[in-house]
Amino acid sequence: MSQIAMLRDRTLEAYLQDLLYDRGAAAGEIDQRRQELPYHPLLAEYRHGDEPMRDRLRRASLNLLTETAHSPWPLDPLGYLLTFLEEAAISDAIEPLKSVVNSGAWLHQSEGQQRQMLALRTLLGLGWLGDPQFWLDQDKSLSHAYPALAFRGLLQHGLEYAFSHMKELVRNPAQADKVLRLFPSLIQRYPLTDVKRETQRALADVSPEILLRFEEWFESRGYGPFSEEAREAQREMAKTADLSRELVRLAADLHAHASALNAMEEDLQAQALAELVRTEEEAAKAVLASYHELGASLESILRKAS
Amino acid sequence: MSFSDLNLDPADQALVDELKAAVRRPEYHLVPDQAFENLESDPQIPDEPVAGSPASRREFVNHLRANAQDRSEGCLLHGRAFCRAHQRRGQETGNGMILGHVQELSKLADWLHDAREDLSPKQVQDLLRDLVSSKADPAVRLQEQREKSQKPTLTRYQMWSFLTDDGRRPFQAISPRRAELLNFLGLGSIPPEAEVVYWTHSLPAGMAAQRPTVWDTDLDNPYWRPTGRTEPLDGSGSTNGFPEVVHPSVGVADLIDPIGSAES
Repeated sequence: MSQIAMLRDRTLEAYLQDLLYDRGAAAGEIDQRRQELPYHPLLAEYRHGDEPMRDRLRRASLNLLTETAHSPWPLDPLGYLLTFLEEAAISDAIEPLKSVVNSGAWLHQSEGQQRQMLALRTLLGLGWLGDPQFWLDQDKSLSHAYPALAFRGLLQHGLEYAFSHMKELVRNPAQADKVLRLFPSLIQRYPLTDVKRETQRALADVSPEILLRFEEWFESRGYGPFSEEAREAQREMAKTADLSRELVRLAADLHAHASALNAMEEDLQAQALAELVRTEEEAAKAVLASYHELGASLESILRKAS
Repeated sequence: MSFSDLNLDPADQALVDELKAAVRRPEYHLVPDQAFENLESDPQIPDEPVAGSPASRREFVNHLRANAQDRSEGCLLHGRAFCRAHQRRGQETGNGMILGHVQELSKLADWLHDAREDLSPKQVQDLLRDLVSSKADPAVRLQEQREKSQKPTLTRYQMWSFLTDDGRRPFQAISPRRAELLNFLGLGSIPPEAEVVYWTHSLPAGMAAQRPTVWDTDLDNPYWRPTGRTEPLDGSGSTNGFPEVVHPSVGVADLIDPIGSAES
């Protein structure tokens, strides 16, 4: 039994802090020969302890988490505390972490983006979903430095959904490399064929440099051929794009023809009107001529009669 | 040479007795008190302070007296603090060695999963498994491991490594099968079912390796013997083991072969 099991409340908190900082007598809990990390003895104690013991450790670690919002811890001990909370599945940490994220309490500390990433990483590890837009917004607020984190967040909403946003997260080869670090887990969680298909779809119109990164990953592991299929997808996309362009061109032609027809129709109507006027004029002239003839006849009759 | 030669006063003797109880490992079937015997018998450790030698038993007892609580675990923890202040003080070994190292995959993954990492611990384990199990050509694998590593060192603490008596590469002399590695390297603290990784490395220029002393063992490692060689777990004796050294952690740049996964 380690010292951890014998301590209470504030003494326990101080001891855990020393352990996570790897300092003082508490550091003696760490088995260096096995390359344990500072949170390993704590996690072992939590996993093997009885419920009262676990409850004490839960409370102590949550109090330490609260403390970090006011008095910043160095990144490594903070990372160990958060990894302990995640690995011990202490879901009571979700609300304090959400508060940290939403308030920007850590974001405004030194190395703030990294701290914010740690909070988000732990939230994901504890099973918190967040809505999809939240993860895309976080990607922006973290200056696109942690695309795998945002991708993990989107994955909580489905494989296809996450891949449909991949282009927004992967804009250069370095970001591709970061997201690819997630792929060994991805193919443990989803069928390889699904992951490959979604990747090919998502990459249908990315730059060749980005495509090459994914191509190398799949093919070097014997999951290929990737490039031929991806290029086929690219060709299909190109064909679709050509067809779209042709349709647009045809629509424009049709529109032009329709306009011409309209103009012709207007001309014809105008011609027909003119013809009608001319016919009416001629008819009027004929009538007038008839009147003149009739008048002449009447004059002739009147002269004969007189 | 032993604590009995120090003529300790009753209070100091009580501390040593507490420590003996704290490092007793009844589960170790060969010699449950082996860890304490190591303290008593390590020939590299003098009873009294000697300039240029590793810290003495007298200094150790003085440290316990100055710091130890009246609990055996407290005694052990303070004893370990003393050990850590006196690591790598044993006899220096030669240069240009090709060394082998074995450890649990999960511990390496957890070390790689640091405060700069945005994956989960399990995802980093999957990533590491992928990197060490790749079927690619060894040179390609090594290159990929070097490129993907974000850490300057492969371990947080000092490393224990072994070499061969005949100059062969370490994993030519021992088959990289888990049971064999754990047995012949005396790695009794690693659970038999744990996934294990291994690698071959050299020391960077200016880094020295030493023969381990009991202060390098964190006090309660009954699987170790102060012979300069690993002690097989099956009790076949250190002549069947390998010469061992301790040195500061090395990085991926010092790897000679890619990190591999031990066969089960």
